[in-house]
Amino acid sequence: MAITFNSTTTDQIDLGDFLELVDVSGGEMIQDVLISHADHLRMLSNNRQFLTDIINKELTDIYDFQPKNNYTAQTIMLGGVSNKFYVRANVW
Amino acid sequence: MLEYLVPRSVDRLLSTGSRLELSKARCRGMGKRSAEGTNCRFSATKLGQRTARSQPSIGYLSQQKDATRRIFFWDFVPAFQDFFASDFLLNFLRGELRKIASEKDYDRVLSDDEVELVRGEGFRVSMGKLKARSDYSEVVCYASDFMCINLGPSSLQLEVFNIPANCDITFFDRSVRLSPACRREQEVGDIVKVNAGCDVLKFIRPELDTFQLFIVSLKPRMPLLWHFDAETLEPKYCTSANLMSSRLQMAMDILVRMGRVDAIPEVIGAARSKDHFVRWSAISSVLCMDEFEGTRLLIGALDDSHPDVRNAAAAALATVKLAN
Repeated sequence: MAITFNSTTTDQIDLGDFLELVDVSGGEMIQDVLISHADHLRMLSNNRQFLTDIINKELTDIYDFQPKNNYTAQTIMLGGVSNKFYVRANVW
Repeated sequence: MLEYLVPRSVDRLLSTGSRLELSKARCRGMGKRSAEGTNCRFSATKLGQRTARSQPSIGYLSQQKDATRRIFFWDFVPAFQDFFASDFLLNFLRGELRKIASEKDYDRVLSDDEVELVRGEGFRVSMGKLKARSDYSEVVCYASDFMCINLGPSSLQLEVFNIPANCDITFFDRSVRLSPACRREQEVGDIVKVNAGCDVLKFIRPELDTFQLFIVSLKPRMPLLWHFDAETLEPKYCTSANLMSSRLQMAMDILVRMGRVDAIPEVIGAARSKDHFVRWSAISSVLCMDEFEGTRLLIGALDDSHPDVRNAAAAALATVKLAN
């Protein structure tokens, strides 16, 4: 069942900082670990630049755009740690 | 090499199956066509009484890497039929689906009603659901050949339409009208084969949520997917068969929506893509962000190599002039 958090933080973080925070927080991505990053995810979403920064950077070589992305066209892979977690943006 | 996108026990099952070979004589007997897919219009076959194998023959597909001869998706129909009839499916349905539902890191979900099971060199296998309570607003003429088997619990009613034989499906044309081909029932166990760029299926909403196993060629034979209104059957829009092209289109749309004017140089670079779909997406994106630069690209696009881009550019220029 979906859990809703009402984070009100207005701070911002970069994607790299977010990935590092999640990576160092635990060996296994159990639910409690993920929940502990709810505020960080809100901080990332407060950053209105990171998604378009990634797209813009990757557009410099359109023939190598998201080469490891096997999801549908509406998904942008943002990063993660192999066999541990990944972050992606979905557009509906 | 097959890439197994399934939990470990199924992986083992498939690995065992990969040692199973069909005879070369049987392989030679599979291909009976004059050109790729041209005699493979819509057809449906019953899985029937094929004997279930303890090892699926789908592993055979991984061995077909002979670059000296062309490999056709439909050549593997008997292998797919063996796969359907194999213990793989039975075991998967018995145990692995439950595991998928409970595994925290199971990430092979394509959408809320489709799960990818296996991805091979030139095909993927997925399980999808036709919802009992949903009407679909559109029907699609796909760019890739595929086949599906009804896993039940309901039989399915479907109407089959065809793209007219004289239609050049590589150019989107809203004046095209589908011609009805047949109406039939896909009973549980029936396999339906759908030819890319030709057959359009319209499933009638089932009484119960009903599951299908899809085997889809990963080598599109057509450049575009045509989307039709499910009621009027009129063409609504097209999308690129190339996933990368669609993703680039979506990415540039995000830049427009988030007002990233500073990204215009990169988007202009995409307007030089080999893919006309990407070129037009880039031109229209620049136009949304900078009318001067966009108009400059539109003028250049009047000489584009693709008629859809030329026509769209002419229409857009007329609109811009009218607005000014």
